[in-house]
Amino acid sequence: MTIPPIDGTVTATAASGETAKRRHIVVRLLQDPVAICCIFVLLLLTAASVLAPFLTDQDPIKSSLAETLAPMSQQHPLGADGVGRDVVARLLYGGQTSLAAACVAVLVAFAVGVPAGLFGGYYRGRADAILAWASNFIMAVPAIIILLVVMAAVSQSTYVAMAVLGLIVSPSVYRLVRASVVSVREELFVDAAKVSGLSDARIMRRHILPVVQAPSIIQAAQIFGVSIGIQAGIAFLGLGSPTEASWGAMLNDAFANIYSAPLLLLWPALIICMTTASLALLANSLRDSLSGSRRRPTRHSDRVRDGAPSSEGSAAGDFAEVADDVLLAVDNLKVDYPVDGGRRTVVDGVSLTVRRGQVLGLVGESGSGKSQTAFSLLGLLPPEARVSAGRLLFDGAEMKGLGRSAMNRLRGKRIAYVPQEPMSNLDPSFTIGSQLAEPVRQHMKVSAKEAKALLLGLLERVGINDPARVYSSYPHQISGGMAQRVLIAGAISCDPDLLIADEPTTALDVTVQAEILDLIRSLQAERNMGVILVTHDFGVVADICDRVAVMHTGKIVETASVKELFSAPQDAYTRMLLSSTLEDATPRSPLKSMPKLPKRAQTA
Amino acid sequence: MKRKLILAGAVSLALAMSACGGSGGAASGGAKAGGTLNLAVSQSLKSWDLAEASMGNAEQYYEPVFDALLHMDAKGAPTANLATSWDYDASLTTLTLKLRTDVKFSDGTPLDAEAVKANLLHTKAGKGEAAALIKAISDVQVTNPSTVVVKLSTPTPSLLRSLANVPGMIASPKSLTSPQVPVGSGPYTLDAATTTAGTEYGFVANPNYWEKNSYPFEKVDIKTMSDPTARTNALLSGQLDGAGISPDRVDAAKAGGLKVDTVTPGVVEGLYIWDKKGAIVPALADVRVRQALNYAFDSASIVKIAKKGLGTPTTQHFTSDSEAFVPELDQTYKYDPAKAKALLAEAGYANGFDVVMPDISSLFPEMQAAMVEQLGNVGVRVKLDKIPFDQFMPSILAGKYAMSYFKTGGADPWIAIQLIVSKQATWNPFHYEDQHVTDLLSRISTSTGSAQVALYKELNTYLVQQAWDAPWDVVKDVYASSKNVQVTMHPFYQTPPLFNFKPASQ
Amino acid sequence: MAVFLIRRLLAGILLVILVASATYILLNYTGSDVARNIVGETATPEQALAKAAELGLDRPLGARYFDWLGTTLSGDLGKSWFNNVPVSTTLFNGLPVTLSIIFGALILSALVSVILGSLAAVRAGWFDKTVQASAVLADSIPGFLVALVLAMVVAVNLGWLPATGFVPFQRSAVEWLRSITLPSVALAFGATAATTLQLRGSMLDVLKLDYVRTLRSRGLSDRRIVFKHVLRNAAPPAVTVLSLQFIGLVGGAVIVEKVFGLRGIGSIATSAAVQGDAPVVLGVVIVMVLIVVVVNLIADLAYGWLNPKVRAE
Repeated sequence: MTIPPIDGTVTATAASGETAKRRHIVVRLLQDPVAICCIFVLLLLTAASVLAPFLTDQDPIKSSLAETLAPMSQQHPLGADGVGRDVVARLLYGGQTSLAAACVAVLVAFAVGVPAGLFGGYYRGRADAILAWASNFIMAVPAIIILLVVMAAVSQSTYVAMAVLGLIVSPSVYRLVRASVVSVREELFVDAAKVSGLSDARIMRRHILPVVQAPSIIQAAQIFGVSIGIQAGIAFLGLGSPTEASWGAMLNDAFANIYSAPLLLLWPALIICMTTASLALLANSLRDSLSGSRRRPTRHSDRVRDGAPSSEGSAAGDFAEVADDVLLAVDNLKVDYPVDGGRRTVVDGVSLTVRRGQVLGLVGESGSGKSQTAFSLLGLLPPEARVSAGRLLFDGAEMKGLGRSAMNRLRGKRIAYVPQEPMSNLDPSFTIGSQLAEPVRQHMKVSAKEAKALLLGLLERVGINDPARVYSSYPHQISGGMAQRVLIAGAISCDPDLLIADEPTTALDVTVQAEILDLIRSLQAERNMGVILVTHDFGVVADICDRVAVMHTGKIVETASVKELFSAPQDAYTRMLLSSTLEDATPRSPLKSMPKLPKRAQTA
Repeated sequence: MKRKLILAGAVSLALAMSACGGSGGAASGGAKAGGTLNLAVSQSLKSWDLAEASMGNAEQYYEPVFDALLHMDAKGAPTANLATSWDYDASLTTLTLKLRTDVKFSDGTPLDAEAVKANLLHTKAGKGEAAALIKAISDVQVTNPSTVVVKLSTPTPSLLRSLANVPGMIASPKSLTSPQVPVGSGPYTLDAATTTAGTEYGFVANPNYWEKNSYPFEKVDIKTMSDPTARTNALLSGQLDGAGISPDRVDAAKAGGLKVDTVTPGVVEGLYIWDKKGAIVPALADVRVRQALNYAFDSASIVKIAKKGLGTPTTQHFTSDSEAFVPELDQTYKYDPAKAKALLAEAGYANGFDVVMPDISSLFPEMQAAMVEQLGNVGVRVKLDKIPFDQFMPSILAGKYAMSYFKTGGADPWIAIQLIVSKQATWNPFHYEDQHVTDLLSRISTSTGSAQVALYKELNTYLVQQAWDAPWDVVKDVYASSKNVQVTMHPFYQTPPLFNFKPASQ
Repeated sequence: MAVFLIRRLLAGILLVILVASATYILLNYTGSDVARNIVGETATPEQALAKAAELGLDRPLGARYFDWLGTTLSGDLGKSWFNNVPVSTTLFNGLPVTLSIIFGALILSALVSVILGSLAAVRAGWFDKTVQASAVLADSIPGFLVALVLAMVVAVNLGWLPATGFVPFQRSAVEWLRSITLPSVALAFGATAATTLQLRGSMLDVLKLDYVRTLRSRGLSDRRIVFKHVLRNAAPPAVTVLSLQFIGLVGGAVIVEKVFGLRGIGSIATSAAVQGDAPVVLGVVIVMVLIVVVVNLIADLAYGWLNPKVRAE
């Protein structure tokens, strides 16, 4: 399963994508072998059509009774069709008609769609509403029927039909352009440009058109492909103009002779499929290069690989040999990601120990690797991440090399997770009750009824006043603070030994923050859980942690008890971090968090 | 056209029916006695109203429900059906018919002289193709319940054969006009449960029919299938017992275990010269130019290649079934492009001439290709005019084109004349009149027997000399049928009539 | 919600009127001699003129248009100019055919695209690449080629399923299913490809979301997460795409019906358009746009039903 990176640590890769995006689209396309093949095929077909007079001396229109259905020969390399016309000549010259007619469709679609989209997106208002309505109107029209009427009643010409088709598909261009314009318009540079007194036309030309360009190319390729397909369909219905050489007309002739010379169908079908497939694949490649994610990462094994044990004293982290009360022991954890031409290490030799009943704070600035460390312990890193460790002991057992289902038996049941952003971590489509009950039923093997009873109790325990209502609510119906309580209730529902909380209060109001921290602390004490609290906030650390590990650029620079760290920070980075925290934030009084027992008594 | 006035004909050539030989390929479906006969027709049913009825292969829709006054034997001679006897007076304008007295319509109404009168007058007043064949009926008189007298405005030699087809079919007088469900006295009745209007018509045997032996199937199912490939596919996959197919499917049909028969419905195809007056293309008024056009076509090659051999090269409008047929005339214009050019030069068109013709490549691609090519070889430059294919016939009727590819005709010479030759003929859009022809026609209509035959031949010879048109060949239509049925072609029907279908003998 | 529905319905009706009016004018603008076509080849010019008068073709376009609009709004679609059958009867006969194969295709493509799309989204690597590439290719192959190959191979050569024809459901459910299988498969081909790609994309988007990671942190199996949570959240955009596909399927049906010799709305439309049978063409257009409006409405409702936020309003 792919879960792309979310933590700031990996923004480096995203950033490299950014720079890449700025490289010219053509350059990027030329790095894609599929795109190169498609462009080659299309160029070849175009060239062959244009150069038809030089490639064959046969006439594509002149029929010859004697040559009817002639087999392949020197004179007719692919034989002759039902009325004795040379197949090769018709393929070549037919390309001229088919490709030109498809161009007509694309041109009409853009001639109508681009101005409408620019106008609607830029000026908005009533005109925009009318255009949007008109586009919905056209999109609801069954295109083929309209084409049938036009071709039967007005003109048999392929070009006319394709112009009408262009009109029918123009809403897709309009929508695309309009969406791009609207988004660009909101951006600052247009405002700035406006301020500096540029005319609207100039803004459109200078700032908006370049943005619309790339998606328009994709759209054009698609419309082109669709037009070729529709031409063939019209010809199949017998409405084309069979005398002029076109691929559709060839199909029409081939249908008539399908029983006597089925091979005739192959050539135009092949060339039509080649054209449309090349266009579709090209559009696909273009889209991929635009979105910056050319290749989806293939999944690495979930398993944590074997890594070297840390050499003596190499890391500032602590790795304690197995002792009775050690819940989690990590030695020399490394996480790296593939980047252009190599791998980038984001967690570099981290060693940690968490004991039962202990709260370990994992502190660092964004990008320090703290969240990556936390996720790697849960096995929740994106597939392209590679994780290795010297040792990775949970409750005395080695976690290295555990497969997915083994991890699923640990996750949720023995190691639980509280995320940073409460609202985005609830599935919006299911009620809170149903998504909380799911893991409970799985891990505890209880009935739905029992799970509900258990959860209602837990919801009450985490401070929710009306558990039954919340239980049957959807996530959008509750507040952020309540959502975080819900997530905490979910995390502790299976009575885990270790709770990993990733900045659990950052997204919340200051008033709610304290309550949530109190809740975590009291639950921790009540259940004697080990807790890893990932945070950038020393106030939070002071509030509830027993020990602290400070991370910087993927390494642990210092591990100490809270008391030691605040009183005598050893590492220069820690000192810098501490001082900046003290300057711009009012730290919670460390004293206030010291008397833990009364607080627990108070909430229990 | 293909579906045009097919019936009629003179000397008939009973087409050899391919006996149900062949290796026993066990096709699916079950057309055995008491079973269902599955047929397909390319035309759609226009209306159950006989006054609107089309002919050609659409006849099959009417045959199960409606019985005709007469039948025809394989030679085109009338035989008794609803009418037991028929007599003309000396002037050939009064026909007396004696009717069976034991026939009732499926709604219980008796079929009597009044019903016949109502039908004939109703049908003849209509606009359908069937109506056109009996336009000459001026009145119908009831002598007694079993005798009717049909009055004609002019002698109509083809009348008896017409009465053996759709124009002679009799519907219940209660549902003559625009009926939603047909009510007749025929061997079957329409079955609403298996009928989907426009698509499929199911018929079940009429328990009270008086001549059940001729119709051994318990049910008949007729599907409308306009697409030739769909028809071929349905035949090959065993869904149908019989349907017409196009000539290029013959090999595939045979390979698929089907029986393939041909029928010659008296239709002649070729280049029809509409503008013999020279109104659009003056050159065509010159008989030498028209003769040159006859020399320009290599009919033998056209038949062999474009028609896959399914046709007989000819230079005349009358087929070998017709009294007017003169075998020697087929030698008149032997393919000779040099002679054609010489004639054109003689007429003052050494550099040929230009002519605009309707583009029919969506209907008859091979015919058009051959025509344009061979005309080009003698210097006639064709410019094709793109029109929707349903505009083909209307635009010809409107006199828009000086000449074009076409096919029409009838085995009965009089029908052929009314279609092609007379001043008011349907396919004489410029109403060209040749006084000699007009004189001959009036003599033909008032004569009988060998005198009439001689006049027919004289007319034919004159038309060929005048190069009235430039015919290529007599069309052969192809009918494919499954091994489950035994079908006998009938030269007076484009598709075999229902009474010619029998279950294959075991 | 009710207000929303009523507004959508009114907009839909307006749409139907506008599209039909545009078609009416287009049809009447043509130079073809419809009356001549109708009375047939054997009729005299006088009969053709009489027919034209009977159909009102000799009156000015404006007057004819308002007459037509009036009768149409009163629910009367008129009669075919060619066979005098009421247009509603023709449509009533053709609709079951077309709707059977369209909905058959819709269900088929929904099923297949859910399976392929989710597997492709979840499994990076060769499987994903194969699904993507085949979807792009399948989307680019003209539908009638698929139909033709299916008809030739499965029906004619192998004889597994009927090559042509439609059996109404009420006559035989099994035969009905057999008769629509091949056309539906042919029709579903392109739609499946497009929906698969769409579903894959929106599932990848959902997979990036925080709550999926949280669900994983609770030890839920991948299958459960993907097929319950991710699919459910990726469904609304896929439903929208499916409803857009519907319009495409209506067009595709025109061609598939020809290949399989089905007399559905598509082939009715083709022959009527070619003949210039204006009442039938207009009837088809009206019914098709109506169906599209209804389907879009259903899609909106489904979207709302799938999205608790909308549902709550």
